[in-house]
Amino acid sequence: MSSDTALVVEGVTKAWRSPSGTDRRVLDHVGFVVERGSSMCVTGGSGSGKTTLLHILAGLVNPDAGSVILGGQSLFTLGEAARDRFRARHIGYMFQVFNLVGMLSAMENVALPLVFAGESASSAQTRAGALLERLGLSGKSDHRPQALSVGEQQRVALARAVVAEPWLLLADEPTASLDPANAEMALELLASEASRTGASTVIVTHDPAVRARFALQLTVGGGT
Amino acid sequence: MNLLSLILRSLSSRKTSTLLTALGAALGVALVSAVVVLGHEVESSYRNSGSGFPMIVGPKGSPMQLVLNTVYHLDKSPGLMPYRAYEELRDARWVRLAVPYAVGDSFRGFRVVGTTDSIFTERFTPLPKQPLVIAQGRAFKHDSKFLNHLIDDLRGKAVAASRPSSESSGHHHHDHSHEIIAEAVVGATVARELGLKIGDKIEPTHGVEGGKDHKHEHLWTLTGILAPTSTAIDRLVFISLESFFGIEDHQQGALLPDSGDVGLSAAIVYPAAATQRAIMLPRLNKRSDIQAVSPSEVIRGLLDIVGNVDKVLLLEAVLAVIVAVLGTAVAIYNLMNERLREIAILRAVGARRFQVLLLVVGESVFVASLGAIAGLAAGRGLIAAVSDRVAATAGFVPDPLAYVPVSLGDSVPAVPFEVITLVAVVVVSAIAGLLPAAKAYSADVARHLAPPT
Repeated sequence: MSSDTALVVEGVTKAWRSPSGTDRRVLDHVGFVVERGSSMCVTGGSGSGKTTLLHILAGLVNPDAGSVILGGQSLFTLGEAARDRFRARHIGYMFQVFNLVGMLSAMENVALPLVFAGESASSAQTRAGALLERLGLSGKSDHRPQALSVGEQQRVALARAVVAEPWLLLADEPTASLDPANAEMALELLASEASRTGASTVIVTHDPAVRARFALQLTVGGGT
Repeated sequence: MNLLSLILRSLSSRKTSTLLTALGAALGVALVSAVVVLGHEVESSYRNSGSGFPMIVGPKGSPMQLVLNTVYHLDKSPGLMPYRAYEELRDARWVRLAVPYAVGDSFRGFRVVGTTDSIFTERFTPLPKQPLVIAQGRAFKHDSKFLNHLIDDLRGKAVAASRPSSESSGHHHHDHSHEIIAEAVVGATVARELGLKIGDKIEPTHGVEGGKDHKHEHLWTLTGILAPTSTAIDRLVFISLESFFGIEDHQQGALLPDSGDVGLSAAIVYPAAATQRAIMLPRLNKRSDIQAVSPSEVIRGLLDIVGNVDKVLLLEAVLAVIVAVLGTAVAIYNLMNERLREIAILRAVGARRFQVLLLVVGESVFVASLGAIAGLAAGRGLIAAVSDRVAATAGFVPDPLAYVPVSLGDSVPAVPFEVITLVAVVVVSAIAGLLPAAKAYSADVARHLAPPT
């Protein structure tokens, strides 16, 4: 593999235990490579393990088997605290429902990953403010998420995901909560921010229109 | 933005819950603060007053009653001692100063003490090494010759009263009241509460219990106002002994026909040397007509009893604080289920488990500390609010700003009890906060990140 390789996933397997006590394997030896700056979409039916895969890529869920290597660092050989810090620095995550923290302003939401990565509060706020300005939200940086429109919330969530200029940008159904116009704009912004920061992107989607935009596709639950 | 600002944001986003839980802690701590400060003030005031009056001589009876009545002006007078005994003490070589006290009158709720101008000398130190200071005006005029003459006259009356047919004694008395210079000096609280000023006329009434009292026909002129002492003296009206005995009502009540003498409530005795107190106490107590007590010993006995009550109260108050502090943690714990999603988001964007733990423990500590600080201030405020009532019922003025040190051992300097309280609250709230923090710490991030259904 080349030195540019950003994300290498090998043999990732995960089973969930059902309430009846039987194990249901949702990911079975999943493997792929996403080069630095490239993007891939993950598709599959409901409960097929798309979000589980994203959680594993983010280091939030441990796989039963397999490895995830990002920028040469094997995620699951790191201790939990080191993995949390690695995530804050190198992995951006956009959630389907944005998951902005309601008690914080837009700017503070965006600054969170930088703060958790150990950056000073003032530097984090400056970078967050600059990013919000670039995304057209300079007038809204002091607003709480509840005071923002859905489209604005989406841009704040994107800003939070890319503010640390991560190596890997994960997005879970980024257009599911948006109308077609906002969805289109969100995808454009996602692509431009990923391109600007050089991040590899993995997007989970069930939307055929979104899927059509990606050359590299992975289908889970029904084979790759 | 840092962890502290996250804690503040989190708490301010739940203002009502935060304020209510802090209020719970504040109430508990206010109780502790009030009990501790008041207990300290009781003890220091009683000890101070006790050591300011090295020996009290009075009639036989309860030593406690004698001390309470003479030093704190509480309780009823235990009776009368012969004036002759006071004269012996006054003239004894081992006595540096003997101050007579005649009580039984009051002026608009404040007790009146008949005494001599010896209370204005430097030798009379009701607080250790602190003589009385006349803040305004001057001392009342005292005429010792006239007093002696009056006492002789009253003794004649007492002897006559002891005879079955006193009318046939042929002993004639005359009314001295027109010769008396009736002047008064009042304590700081009396002047303040009654709005008295120099030159005012006051009219004491007989009796301190109220109801049965009646007015004398004489007026006393206010000549002086004492500086505050934070003792029962602030609530006293001092008049000269001759003006006290010059009143017909007093003469009747002050006669001791059995001993043919005049009665006096008590005498405060300052021995010339400290060792003489120990020698003279048992000697004086062998006498059948008087008892001598050391207020500091009596007070120590009283404080031993009160101290136990104090400890029970303190224990109850400490339990109240623990319950209140646990309450803050429980309140946070109860909200934890609703916050697990927020915790999961923080984890997903890079917060470590330990940071999440600190966040929740920090909230518990912050709320409890906020309550504790408010409670400590409220406790002091409570003392200020009840200060007058305490002064009226317990004979001393508690200082709301009193420094209350807690000793942590001989080699460590004492620290204010507020510091100890705050440290205790921080520790207890941090431990209690671990309960909800553990829930946040162990939260399943992936599960709680799922969109709400």
